[in-house]
Amino acid sequence: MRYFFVLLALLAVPGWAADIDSVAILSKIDAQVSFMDSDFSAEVQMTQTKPGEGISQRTVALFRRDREQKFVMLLLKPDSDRGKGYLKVGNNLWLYETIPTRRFIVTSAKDRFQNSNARNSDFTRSTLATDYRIVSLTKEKLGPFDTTVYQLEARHNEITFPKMKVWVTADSLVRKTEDYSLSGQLLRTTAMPSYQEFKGRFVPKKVTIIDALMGKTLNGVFKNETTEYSLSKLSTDPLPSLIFTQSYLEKNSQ
Amino acid sequence: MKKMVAFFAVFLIAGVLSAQESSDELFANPEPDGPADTSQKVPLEAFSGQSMRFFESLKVDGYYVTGKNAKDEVVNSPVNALNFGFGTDVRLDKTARAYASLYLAYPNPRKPAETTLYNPYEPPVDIAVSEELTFTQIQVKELFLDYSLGTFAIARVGRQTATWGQGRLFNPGNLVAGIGDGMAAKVSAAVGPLTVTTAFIKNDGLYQVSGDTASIISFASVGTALLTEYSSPWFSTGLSGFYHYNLGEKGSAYVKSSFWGTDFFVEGLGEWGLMGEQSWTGVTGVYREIGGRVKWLKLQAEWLVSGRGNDGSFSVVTNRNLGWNDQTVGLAATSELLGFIGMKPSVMWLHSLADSSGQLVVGLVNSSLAHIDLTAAVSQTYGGAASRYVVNNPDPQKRMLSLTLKASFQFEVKN
Repeated sequence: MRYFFVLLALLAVPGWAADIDSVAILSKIDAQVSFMDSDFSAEVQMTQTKPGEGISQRTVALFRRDREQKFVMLLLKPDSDRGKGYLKVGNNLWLYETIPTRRFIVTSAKDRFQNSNARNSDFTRSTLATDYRIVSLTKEKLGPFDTTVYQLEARHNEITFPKMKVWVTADSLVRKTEDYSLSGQLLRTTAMPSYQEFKGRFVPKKVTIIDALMGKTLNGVFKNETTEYSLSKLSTDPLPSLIFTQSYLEKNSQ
Repeated sequence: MKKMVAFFAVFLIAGVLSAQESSDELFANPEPDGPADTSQKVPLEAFSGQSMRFFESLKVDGYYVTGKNAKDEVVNSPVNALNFGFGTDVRLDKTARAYASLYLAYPNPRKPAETTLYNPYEPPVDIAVSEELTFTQIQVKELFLDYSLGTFAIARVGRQTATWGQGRLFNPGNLVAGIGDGMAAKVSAAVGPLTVTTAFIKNDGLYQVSGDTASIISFASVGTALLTEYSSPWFSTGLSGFYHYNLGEKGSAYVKSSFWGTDFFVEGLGEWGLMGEQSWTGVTGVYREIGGRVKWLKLQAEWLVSGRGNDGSFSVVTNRNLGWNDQTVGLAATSELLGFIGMKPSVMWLHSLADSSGQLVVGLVNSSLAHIDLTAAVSQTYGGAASRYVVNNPDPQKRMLSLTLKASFQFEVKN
């Protein structure tokens, strides 16, 4: 019996140690792109390309209060969508409807953002440490970057993608991710080749999301749907609490 | 079969390979990391100072409804309707906004025979229409002024629409029901971690009960509602109340959250009339979307239970009193599975456990043509002659089984 417990402890320790490493490594990655000690606001310019269908563009105002897990997104363009918005607090996401009546509905945070290839969760603060554990790692060259590639698997089922691969440089910045379904099917690839440094944190200059499933075969070649977005007008000025209320969306709705 | 599998394999591999190739290209010559440009900031009042915006909308519906009523008689009724809406939206500066939404309609819609403040079973649509070939006068849908009190509070005064309460199928927590038919002053403020909203609602038709002919400044036509909400990362909760001089008080509380990919809510409502009447209502529900990119099922399920004493003058369920244990269940579902051919199937089933009456509607909407929706729907109402859903059948012809074919043309322009 004694040997059984020793064996059990020997088996358990590497897993426990790996889990501690996961939290430490992923927390460092999260910390690089999160604003826990201030509010954060930015303007997002988004371009979605659907092969054979054309390009659509959106401009979005983004307001975040990472320490309270709150964020607001408000569409500024195109005109047909201006004033539409989301409020997210933790797991709850509010969408303000004006038709047939003005009311808020709660919906799953896994929804795609405005039918683009981006998810609402792409714009909230990074929570890799609480959402994933590292199951393996390798070294890989990614363009000019020496990266560590972490294979991640979800700790719970409250997140958008059950499995991920992330390419991380020595400065703990994620340069590329691949998101997978539970069965291991690649769903999308996200590239963040360059960052802008801001108040000791880092914000991607441009993010490119390549949808692995959606697209169209044109002239015999399969073209993926892509969404590109860039963040500008960065600020950490304190935001009024009223921004993170349903009333703010109601006021700005058209 | 093998060829088909091979074809799909090549198709999938091609997709993955092209994704990989595309992402690799992005790292061929990346822009170096560098400091952010902080010369500009996102304005908090995104639309302040916008020039006057005009908007117009047109909706033309043609229906043909056929079916059988409770006497087994076939009743056919073609219905045509036209709604032309227009309005303006002016944001003078970061403090003030004026908004007007007006419409003309044909035919002249008849007001529902009874609008009940306390009715949680309000039919989703009123399709009762007169047969007169007349348009309405210009009607006001919304006409209000927004005013921001710094970054602390937002006030909205005028005719406005709003819905409180958590239920999508049954919504007894909507304490501001009727706000869209009257005038209201509403103020929302962030107070610490709470959001507090107060509304004073004047609605002569709704609140002047007991034949009260009070003047326009009388409290008899004004209801007061208060909503306080708190949101944490794990759940949201709220308390609301309503008071009216002639009707008494109502209080409501809810908790909602989202986990396991599912939205949950529980809401309770208590009512206290001036003569000591009491009633209570509880509603709980879940909403879940199933599927990946294509949601093959969007499911809403709700259960409502209400009870009250023998006095019918103050009641949650004003039109049908079904006692202390009045339970109703509702199920609604839609699917995106046929979205690739522009089809959207949906089903809604409401069933009263208290009197075994209910309504089942199965519909299919085709939106593949620009601006045009084509709808086919079958509706079955069942229950005894005096049961809730038979009495409250929203079909003015009271058909128990009906087929509706509908074509809608609509567009909206904003500039």
